[in-house]
Parts: sequence; structure tokens; C-alpha cells
Amino acid sequence: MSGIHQFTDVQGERRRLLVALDGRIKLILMLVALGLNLLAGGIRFPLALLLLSTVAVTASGVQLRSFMRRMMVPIMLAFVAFVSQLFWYPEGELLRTISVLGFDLPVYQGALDRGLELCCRILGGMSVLLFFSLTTPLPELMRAAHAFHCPSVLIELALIMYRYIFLMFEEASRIRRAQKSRLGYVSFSNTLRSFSTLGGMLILRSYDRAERSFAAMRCRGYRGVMTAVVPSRLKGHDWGVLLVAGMILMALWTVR
Amino acid sequence: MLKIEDLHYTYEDGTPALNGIDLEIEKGEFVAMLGSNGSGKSTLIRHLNGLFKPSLGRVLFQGKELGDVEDREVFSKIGIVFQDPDDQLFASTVEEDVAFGPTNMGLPPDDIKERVHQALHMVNMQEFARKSVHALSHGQKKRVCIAGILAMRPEVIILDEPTAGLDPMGVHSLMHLLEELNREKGITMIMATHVVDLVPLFMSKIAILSKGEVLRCGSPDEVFGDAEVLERAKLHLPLIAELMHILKTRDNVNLHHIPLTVGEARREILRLLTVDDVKARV
Repeated sequence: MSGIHQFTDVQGERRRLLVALDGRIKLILMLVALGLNLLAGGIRFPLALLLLSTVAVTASGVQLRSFMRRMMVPIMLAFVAFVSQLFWYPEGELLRTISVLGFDLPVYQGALDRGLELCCRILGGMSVLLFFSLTTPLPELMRAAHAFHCPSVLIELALIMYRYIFLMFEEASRIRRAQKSRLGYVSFSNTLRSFSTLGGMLILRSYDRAERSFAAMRCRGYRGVMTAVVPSRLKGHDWGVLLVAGMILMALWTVR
Repeated sequence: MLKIEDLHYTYEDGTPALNGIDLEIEKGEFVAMLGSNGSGKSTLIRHLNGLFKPSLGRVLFQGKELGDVEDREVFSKIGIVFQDPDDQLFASTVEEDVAFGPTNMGLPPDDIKERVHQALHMVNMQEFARKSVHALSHGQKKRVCIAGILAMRPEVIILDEPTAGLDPMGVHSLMHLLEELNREKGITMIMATHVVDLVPLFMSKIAILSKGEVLRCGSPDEVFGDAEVLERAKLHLPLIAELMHILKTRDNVNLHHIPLTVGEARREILRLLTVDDVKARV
């Protein structure tokens, strides 16, 4: 199970400005960028967001390769969305007719514009989300969400899930290694059998661990509140980045 | 401080785990619950903070029956560190996890922050305060678990096989930490273990368990001097004591007593060498 590194947070990169930025500032910027991305028509604003996110990711110390790997799924979705729009809107000038299996499919200028707009909007929005997910550890994001009065139960659920995902990965890795060393994955049928056993065992062990963890929580006086989530004061560089980023977004908005 | 009277416990599937345990633990003691696997150690220690309710008998803490004391009071005074640290680390970062207990005690944020800082300092993990829990090594996780309990400032700490999974240096480091907490902070320590060699080095009192019963309770010298009890409990002497015992019984070496630690064995050997040296000169 090699996917665990995908969830590794970026504590080690805190020295970089964009990563050390307060979670509340990042959350505000992310929501504003996504909102503007939805409202702005055309392709300039979303493409500018995509470019900005890519630059910001690189500046934060995250490998471009890692960012592009995560962008593959949105890129594929954007392509599907683009193609889906091409043949649905008979607006504007007829550009060409594509023949598929004996059917003539006309492509109009309006449909192309819509397709491109949707495609770019997906890419712009997802790049912003990915930038924030790669540079913001979940605990920090939850601290920010708490500051904005997000319901505590949702925050605690997110934090608990974040903590236990790693345990589940480790448990799954251990089971898989043990299965593999006993020829559990040498053939397709073996693989199916072993995988279903792994799934079942994970459920049982998760249940056992949940019981033990709850006992441990009770022993430390758990009353339904996980932690004292106290965000620190905003620093000078937080305000600085908020101002600069806000100005950039406004500038992009005016030239959209 | 803690008194166990005729404690019986049977699991839901009918397995009898404890069969009439009587034990007294005084304030400030460092007690070992020594027994092989399945002897009832873990079941017993879960009764000591009220996690398990006995089928028969009772547990008294400071003269009051545990069942009559509010959970909040019990858990803040009696802390428990489980064998698997992943069972009791639930927050994302170290400092958030250590803050869990004090938060539940309803303390103000400044107090919580102070306690977290102190607790991490006591276990030498202050540099890891902001680190994610999943990024810690096994030994570091154990320390954070202990810090999480220390932050609640308990009077008693119960530990279930705390040395399990640690390398020799880790074991030594952890045991020295526990001994320091016992000696300097006066925290009563109760440790369930089957690592016989550790016991005479750090503990003042041992309770030998077997099949849900306490076979013998006393100082290390008293307990390890009873070979029959050790055999019944399927335990052995500490290795150094085993060696000295063989020297005494098979090689007729004139030992005054069976030393239980390396330090004691060294003194005894030096004494013998000095005596022999004198005899040789005469």
C-alpha cells in the first residue's frame, strides 16, 4: 500500500511563507478564488488561476511532478466535460461536422466556447483546491474552520478521520504483507480472495480499535469535545499575503 | 491508597479472569504486577481505575469504593497507559493529544497550555509538540501517551506492559523516566509486566499473578526467594539471579544471598574475591 505518502502533511515545509501562512487566510483566499472562478465568464480568469496556483505550488516547495500527478484526474474530468458540451449547443457559427459511426455531429462556435469555459473552470477551481490541500495540514485547516464557526462535530469527525486513516493504512499494509508472503497475490483468483479477506479484517480490526480507543478516551474524561482548538493571532506576513493575493485576484477579475 | 478486596471477574463469554484478588497498594509505591500471558494482569489493572466493574468484590481508592466515586474524579486521579500507544493517541498533533485530558477537565486555555508544556518537558518530547502523531516512532508515541496522562496530574499511573515493542535503550530510558516520576513527583506507579529482569531494578513491591490469583506479594527479595511460587506462575528468576543461583546450588559457591541485579551480583562477587584473596594469603 504505497498511497500513504499522498496524505503526508507538510509540516516539514513550514519554513516557506505560503506554507507557514495562517489557515484562516488560506481558507478565505481559497473561498474567494473559487467564488470568483464560478462567477467569472470566459476562460481568462480560470486559466490565470491555474497558472497562479501552479506558480504558488512550486514556490511552496511542492514538487511540480507531484502537483501534476494530482491534477491528472481533474484534467481527465475537464476533457470529458469539454467533449460533452461540444455537441449539445447549436449556438453561433457552424465550425465543422464530425462524422462518428455514420452519424453527423455538428460543432458550433457557441458549443466550443461553452466547452472551453467549463473545462477551464474545472481546471482553475481544482488547481486552487489542490494548492491548498498540498500546503495546508488538515489540523490547521480545521483550526481555521473552527474560527469561522464550523460545527464542532464536523471538525472533530474530520480530525479523527485524519488521524485514523494512517492507522488504517498501516494495518492494511501489515495484512497485505503477511498475505503476500504466503502467496496471497500470485494469481488473479488469489488476489480477489486475499483482497476480500483484507477488507473484512480491516473492518473487524477497525471496530476493535474503536472500542479500545473509546475506552482510552473515557479514561481521559472524554465528554464529547475532542480538543481545545485555539488559533493563534494573525501575524504581519498573514495580512501582507492576504492583501497582495486579494489585489492579484481583483486585477485578474478586472481583466477577465 | 488502593485496596482490592476479594476481586472476581468473569468475561461475558464465561471465561473467569480473576478469582479472588486481595491486594493493597500504598501511596508512592512502584508496584509490579508480574505474571505470564493470561495470568490476569491486564484485567486486574483495568479494575483499578473503574474501566471494568467486578463480578464480585470491590476496589477502594482512598477509602472510597470506585463505583461510588464519579468517573471524572477517578480518571483525573488515576491515569492509565495502555499497551498499544495507537489505542490512545487520537488527535492529529502531539500537543493537541496531550491537551485532550486537561481540556476534558474543563481547565482554562492558559492552564491547559502550561500543563501541556510541562508534561512534554517531563517526558523530553517538547520539541515534538507540533509534530503529527502518525510521524512518531513507537518509543516516542509511548512517551506522548505518558505525557497525556501526566498533563492531568494524576496521583496514580497504571501502565499495561509499557516496555512492549521497545528496543533495550528505549526500555531503559522509559523505566528511568517512570522511576524518576515515582521518586521525584511521588506518583504511585502500578505496572503490569512479564519482564522479570526489570522488576528488581525499579520496583519496590511485586505481586505475582497466575490464573487470576495473587500467589505472592512482597519485596523483590521476598518474592524471588520463593522458587515454588515462581514455578507455579511460570516465571523465572532475573537472569543474573539465575546465574548466581546455579553457582550456589551446583558449584557450592558461598553466597550470602541470591543477588537480583547486576549491581548486587558485582558486590557479592567482589566480596567473594576479597575473601578468597585473604584465604589464599593466609
